[in-house]
Amino acid sequence: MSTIKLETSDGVKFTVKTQVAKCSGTIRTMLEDIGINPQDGEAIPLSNVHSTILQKILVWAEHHVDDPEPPRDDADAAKRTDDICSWDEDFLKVDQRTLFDVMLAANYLDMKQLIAVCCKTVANMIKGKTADQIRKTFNIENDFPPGDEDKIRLRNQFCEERR
Amino acid sequence: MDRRSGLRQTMWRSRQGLLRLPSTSNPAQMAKTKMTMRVSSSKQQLRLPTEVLERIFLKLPFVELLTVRAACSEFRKIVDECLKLRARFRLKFPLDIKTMDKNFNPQSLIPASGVIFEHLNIVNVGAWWPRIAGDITEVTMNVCDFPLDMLRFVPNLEELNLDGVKLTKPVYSAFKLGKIKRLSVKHGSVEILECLDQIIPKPLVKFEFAVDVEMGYEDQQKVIQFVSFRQDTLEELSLKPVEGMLERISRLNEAKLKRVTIGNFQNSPRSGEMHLIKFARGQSTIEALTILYVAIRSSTIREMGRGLPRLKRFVLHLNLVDKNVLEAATKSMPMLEYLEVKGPFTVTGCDGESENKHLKELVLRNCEVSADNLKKFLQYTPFLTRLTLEYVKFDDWSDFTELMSGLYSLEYLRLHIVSVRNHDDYDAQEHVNKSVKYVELDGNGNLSTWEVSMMFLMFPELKELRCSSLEKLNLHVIVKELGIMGKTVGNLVLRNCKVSQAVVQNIVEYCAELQRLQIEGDTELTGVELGRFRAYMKEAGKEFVET
Repeated sequence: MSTIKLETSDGVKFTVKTQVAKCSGTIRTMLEDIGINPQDGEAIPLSNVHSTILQKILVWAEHHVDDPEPPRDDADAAKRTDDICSWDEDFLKVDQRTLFDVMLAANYLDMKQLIAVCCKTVANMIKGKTADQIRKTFNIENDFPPGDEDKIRLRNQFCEERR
Repeated sequence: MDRRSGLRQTMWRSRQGLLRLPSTSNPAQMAKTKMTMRVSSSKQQLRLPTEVLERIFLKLPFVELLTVRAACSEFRKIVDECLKLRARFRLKFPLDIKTMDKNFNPQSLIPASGVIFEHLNIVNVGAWWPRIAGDITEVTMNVCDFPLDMLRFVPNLEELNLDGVKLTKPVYSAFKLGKIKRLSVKHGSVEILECLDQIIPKPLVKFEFAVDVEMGYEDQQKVIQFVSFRQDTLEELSLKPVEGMLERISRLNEAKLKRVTIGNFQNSPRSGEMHLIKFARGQSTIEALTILYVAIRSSTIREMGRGLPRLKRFVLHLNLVDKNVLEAATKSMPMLEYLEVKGPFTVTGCDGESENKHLKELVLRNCEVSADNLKKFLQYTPFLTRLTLEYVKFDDWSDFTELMSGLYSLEYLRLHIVSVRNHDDYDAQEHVNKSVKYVELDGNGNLSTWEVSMMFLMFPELKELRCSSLEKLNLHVIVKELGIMGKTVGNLVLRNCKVSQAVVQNIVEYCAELQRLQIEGDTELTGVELGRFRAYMKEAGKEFVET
């Protein structure tokens, strides 16, 4: 089985089965469209991914490498967040920093299924929280001028879900 | 051509992504980020790019989106600027005021694609409407007085719904409504239609028009003219026509209608049916047809069916008893996938042997069924997967069970107030249906607790049971039987069932296989009981949803 080398931002080199590496749309495009030859032995630089995160992502890719192509999701399926498989659920039971780093890397590597399952996990983290709790979760500050928040709440009275 | 340019784009993207620093770690971008988010440097920095946050927000229910929007300005900006999210928002103006005048001036409203006004006298919206109207694609007015001039500011309007409105005519009629595709005027008048005719350009895809009063000949002509002028683009038409109008519609040669609703068709016994047949022959492209409150015989349905070879959906609300309606429809409409008939009528058998292989869903409402006849009829629809019976009366309980055992493709069964005359014995071994996976019981009619419980034996592959308003039955017994006999049921939904302590007790005691429980509406449980039950469900790893 053919392998390729990947080099992370901290200079660690990984030898990965080509098939597993191709879970990443970014790497797949490089190999197939641009025609980078993996036999050259030269590592593909992933300047934006740390070795600890890549390691984790490779575990995920290894597990999901044989997954069938997901069906084109309709609007209802797209909104669902309760269909995370238990393996993924366990896989993403990590501290928030790691979860976000995995997401960033998955986004950079263009791994649609991993991004989807991460988005579901984070959406579940947001559900049921107040604005203040959301701020704590994402470590952001309330940057609205004083009183503005009340105004937003008031404006929300004029808003409903369509259909 | 498309493929190639797509490929070039991905190549370009991957070059960008791999050979350069990705945009999120671009120093200029980072500086900007720090400014807007004020991420405190002492804490760990968590920063997700906009496109990822957008994807997360797309997974959230509507209410949560409002909360997210209130968290910080960056989140708010993402929600406000995402077109997919915007499509889920609608501004709604039921206010505690009756008149909307220049004193009403709301600031920075949520960017929404739709807006609805209800019970308002709209006098002046000049202060705020032009600011937001540019992005609006759908306007709905329910029981409002409004100046038609408001529509000068909605160049992207695609859908306009007016229900019971009075409008102030514009001074001049230069409107930019080039994108409007769907128009609905209910409880309206022909005068309103005349106004709209001046400002709405020709191509409409959907047109719905209903007035409360009977139209005179001249008014009918005006409506027909409006339709006729737009016939070549119209796909969906909903009218309450009188005979003469229907006649004119059947002669619209350029129309390629797909979905038509004929409401309250006032017909004289003979000529009315003749007009319906002519209509069907004239508009043979129709795929979905709804005819409401009509006196129509099965011979007419047969003739209509012959004129409508593409018909897939047929909804018929009868105000006359006819025995052979079902048979006439399925036989003469071979492509039919959905058939809904509302009675009063009696189902009789099928004497022919022509199968209808496309029919997937049958809805029977207000009818009396001799199960024998329905069974005969359903023999000829071998691929029926969904069946709804509403206010349907059976003679014997065993008739019903026997009927079910013969439906080999049926997956979904909905029973709404179903009654049987004789509650006789039922041999569980004999009548089994292994294809049914979803059963919905809404209002128990006169079915007994025992009969409902027997369904777990009757449908051994049942996955989901939904119960609504089963006040007269002993729900705790049904739940117990579900636990003992319905081990395949993973999902139970109880809606407005006044769930008691005995019910949850039996769920705890018997329903080990149940994976998900949803309770809607009030329960008879005390706060403590409910808390204890929630804890149990959590402990057992089961999903528990309360709405």
